[in-house]
Amino acid sequence: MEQKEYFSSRWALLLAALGMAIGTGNIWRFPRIVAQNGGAVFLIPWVIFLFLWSIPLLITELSIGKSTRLGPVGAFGKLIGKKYCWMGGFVGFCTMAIMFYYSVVMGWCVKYFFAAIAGDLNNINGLEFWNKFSAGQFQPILFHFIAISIGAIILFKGVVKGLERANKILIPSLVALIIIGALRALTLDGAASGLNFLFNPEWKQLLNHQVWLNALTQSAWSTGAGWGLLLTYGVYMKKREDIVLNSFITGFGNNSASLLVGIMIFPAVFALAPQMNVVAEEIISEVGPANTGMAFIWIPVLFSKFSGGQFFTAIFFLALSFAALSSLLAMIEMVTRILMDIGLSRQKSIVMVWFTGFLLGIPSAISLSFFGNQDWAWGIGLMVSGFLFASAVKIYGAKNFREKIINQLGNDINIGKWYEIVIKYIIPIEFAVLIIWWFWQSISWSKNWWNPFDTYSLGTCLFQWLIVIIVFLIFNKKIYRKIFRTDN
Amino acid sequence: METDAVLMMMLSLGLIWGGFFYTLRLAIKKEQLKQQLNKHEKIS
Repeated sequence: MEQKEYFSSRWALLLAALGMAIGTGNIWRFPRIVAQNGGAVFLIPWVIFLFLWSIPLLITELSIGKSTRLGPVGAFGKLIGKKYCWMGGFVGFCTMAIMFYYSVVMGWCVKYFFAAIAGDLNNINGLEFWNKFSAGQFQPILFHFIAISIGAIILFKGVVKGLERANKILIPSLVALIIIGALRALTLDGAASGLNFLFNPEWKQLLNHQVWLNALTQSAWSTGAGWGLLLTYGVYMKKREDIVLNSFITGFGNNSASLLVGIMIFPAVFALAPQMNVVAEEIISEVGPANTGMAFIWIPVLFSKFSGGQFFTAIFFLALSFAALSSLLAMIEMVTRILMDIGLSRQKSIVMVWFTGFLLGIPSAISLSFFGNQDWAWGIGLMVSGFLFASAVKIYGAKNFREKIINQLGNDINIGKWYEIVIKYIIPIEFAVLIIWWFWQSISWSKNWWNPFDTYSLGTCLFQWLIVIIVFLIFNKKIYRKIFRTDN
Repeated sequence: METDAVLMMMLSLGLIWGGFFYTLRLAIKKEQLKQQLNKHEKIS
């Protein structure tokens, strides 16, 4: 097996972890979900679930990666036994399936960034522009190719020379871009009404179960907990590197970025919407085709209504592109790590991921319906992944795991017994409630809820998950032998 | 802005941004401490 690299410092690891966590979900999804769920009141369960889902899973992932020095598939096998490689296989496949269409999303962001610079987004009808772009198949494929190529080229150079260097530029630039955007938004006339909407609590919404379930979903998706990505970065941690404090910084950092984005988006939309005679709440809440509503349909239109709008539209889409790239890098690295674990070189693995990533992303690039189906099936699949991580710890023994794997030499702070309770009881309950809720919703959306070929059905989720689980169960032994070079 | 909104803003920013900067500051301090210890180990 090839000599492994290590992050050159703690700060390099933290930048990579923050890059992994801060993605399009912070900029694109967070404002919409806050607007749909009672504004400030949503922030309460969102913070609670940071401690009851995201941070414990981030700690789990980092510990498993650091202790096993293997990607998700091998890590599960090494930690809890050869019978369980399939669990890591599901986690890895789920994130890989997301990588295919996430590269398409980054392609959209890059396209809109260039369109903003060229002035093509000035005084447009947002929906018409989007429809024209997404209906023409060449451009979505081209920009998807550009996106996955940028990621692959960066990682071709390795963890230190590629990933680390890229994140040193991407994350500070991303934060700077959002701060510039937020400062401009706050100086617009009427910006205060946006802040008022964002932070004014509708207390009665606290009794609404949907607010809590949406907060849990947002926390799970946005922090990248349970995706196998931080596990992969854990592989490159130095032996005496901290696990617990770094996980807390990653979780808090991700939520801080979301709030900063909220402070940019809400004042801007509330200040500019009246000029267009549209209702600000409706714009932020709008789902739109493939969830593009606010970001791709309305931002270009609204931002063209103030002086310097073209510049700030470009800044918005550059920030979105940077956020997408830093997360895409983590996904490509995870798949690469799995291939390296079975004996391939980094270069060979990257080329394979590049090629298959481009090829299997094409259906999502040319069909929003396919894109939506994948987003639905594997987005919910991430909940299963999170549950599988918690199950792995339970199988290993939560107490043992906390004492022998997490609370090790090099930790700045150790994790207390509350971790065991969260992993053993709370995460499985959260998983069960979430999965039932999402499936119950999907049944109410469509009469064809059982149909595996329906875009947003319960059937399509179960069908796709089952295929992956069955395939990994069949090849479980073979995969284990390949990774651990054993005949048993 | 309404009083409730101002209070909620202070609370959420204080908790989330405060949490981030507190944990980051703790990490910086611990790293400095580790560097000092390494220096001492090298000298002795």
